[in-house]
Amino acid sequence: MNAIPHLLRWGLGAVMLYAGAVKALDPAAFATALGNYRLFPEFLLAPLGTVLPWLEIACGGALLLNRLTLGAASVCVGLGLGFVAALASAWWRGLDVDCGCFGGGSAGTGNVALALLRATAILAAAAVLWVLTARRARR
Amino acid sequence: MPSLPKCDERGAGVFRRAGRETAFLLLIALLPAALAGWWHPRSAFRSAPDSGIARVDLATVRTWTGSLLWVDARPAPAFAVAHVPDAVNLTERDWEQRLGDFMAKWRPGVRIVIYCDGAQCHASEGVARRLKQELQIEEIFVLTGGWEAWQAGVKR
Repeated sequence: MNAIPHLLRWGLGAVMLYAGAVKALDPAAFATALGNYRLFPEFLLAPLGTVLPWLEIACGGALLLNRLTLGAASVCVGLGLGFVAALASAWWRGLDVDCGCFGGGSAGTGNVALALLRATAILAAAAVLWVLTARRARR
Repeated sequence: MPSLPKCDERGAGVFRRAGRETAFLLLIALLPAALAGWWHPRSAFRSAPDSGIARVDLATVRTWTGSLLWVDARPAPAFAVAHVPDAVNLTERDWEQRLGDFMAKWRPGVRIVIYCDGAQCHASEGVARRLKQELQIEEIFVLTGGWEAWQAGVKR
């Protein structure tokens, strides 16, 4: 049972690091992907597209290094909520968007339902990690 | 024996720590992000991300109520052979000549769905972008799968 927080930490950390790195390679593409959701005002796309990948990288790195774990788990939950909300909104409106979760900015070619499922799973893992980390912090 | 802090105090401490660490992570992220924004060859600030042209599939379009204007972005000969009923032909090549036809059929508030040959063509996006820029129209969509998707849909 003691292994679970660590497994979650490594798994989530690796996913965040990878996802952030891929996005950071092409910020313009990620900003376009964000634009496809038609949720944000245009002036926010470039800042979000630039900062979010590095936030994911910092978060992933922190988890893997077992530092600032509570903050990193919080960021994961926050980002997870954001992506789930954006994908759910796109799914609801019938928009065919490329998730942008793992880089790429091409409009379309995305299976929104699948991406939504994946994002929900990641959010769940992040939530569990947050609770486990918070419990250890309280002792 | 020192008294333990009350349960809710410990709880509040967790959130405070979470907030502190989150802020720290944000700070850590901001420096490389700022550098990337400035120096990255694919910086989002330079490449002017367009808000993206939304794509929709045929099934979704069929559920829409309200008026709809189909735009065919394929070359005129293809349009002449067959096209979506009541569609307007508009291509970037013949923009000036054909814009009149488009304007005749367009009303503010009408949703525009643009299609070209199939999944791989990009003509729709070009037309969509231009309509967005020149006419400031927002409700523009590109049909996933294009003309092929329409034909498949009609057969059913």
